[in-house]
Amino acid sequence: MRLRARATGFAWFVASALFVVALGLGVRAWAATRFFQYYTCNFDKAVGVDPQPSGLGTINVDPKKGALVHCPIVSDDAIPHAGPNAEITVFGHDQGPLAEVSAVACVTFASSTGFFCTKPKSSGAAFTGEYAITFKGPFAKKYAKDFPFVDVTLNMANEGNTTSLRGLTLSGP
Amino acid sequence: LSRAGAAVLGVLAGGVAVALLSRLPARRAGAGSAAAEDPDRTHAAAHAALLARVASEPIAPAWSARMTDLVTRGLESEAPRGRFRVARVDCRSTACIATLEWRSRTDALASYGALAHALPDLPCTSELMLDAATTATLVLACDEQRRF
Repeated sequence: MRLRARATGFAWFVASALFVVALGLGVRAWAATRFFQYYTCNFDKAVGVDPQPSGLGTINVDPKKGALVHCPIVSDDAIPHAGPNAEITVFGHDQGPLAEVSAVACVTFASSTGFFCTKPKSSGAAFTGEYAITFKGPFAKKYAKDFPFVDVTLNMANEGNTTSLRGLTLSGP
Repeated sequence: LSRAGAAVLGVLAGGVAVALLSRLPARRAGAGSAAAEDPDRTHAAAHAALLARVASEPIAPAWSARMTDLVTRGLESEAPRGRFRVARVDCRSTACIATLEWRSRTDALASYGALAHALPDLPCTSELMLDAATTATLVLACDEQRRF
């Protein structure tokens, strides 16, 4: 009887431990994406930034001047910007087929004066709708101790079209 | 031990396991970067090595001429705002080195960051390093010869 009680106790121990591990890993996987709100960004030539209920912002772009958005990215051990599993994504919405959005993922060197930037990426052929510009493992294993940022350039081909930038995410392993 | 007691212990053990598992990737990344990277030395050494590699590339005449023109025009359009001078552009077969000069260190520090997005149409990575004075070298690594 005592053996059986011990076995039952052990089963409860194992079951509850496994449950907590599964729950913890699930939460961790969900939490391994970090959103960036636009109050952390610097704007150049943007017409306006409308805060959204989600906390993200929609940036209205001047049709004549375009806009440049410079967004520093917070990176740490929990969600690092370096490593092959890191992923930086710029989300937005084009409302006209003549808009052009390009982004570049960069780091500012922490202890010397300079930077490294990936090749620029664009939202692709002109279209109307949602877009996501993704940089997968943008810095490979390098630049772990440097400061990441994204520069997004939004241009309009002519007046009457608008484009919006919804947010940035950094995803980690 | 009661069932409730065993379950509480299990929850605690599970919490500890999650905490340990969570630390593993960070530890691996930290260990790797600590071993591989002394940022000061690494960046300067890597940039010097990159400059040497590009300088030793053979010249592909057509690509070199076209890229030199594109890079020079792109940088010169930024020059008034950034208060720099394009001292030299040397394009080889897959990469270019541009040497930029400012009048003062203050001007250089204020404007070098804008060069990150100065050439958005070129499919090249860019690495810039400002030396102790007022000169920077910008390396554009394009991997392949393409028509632009």
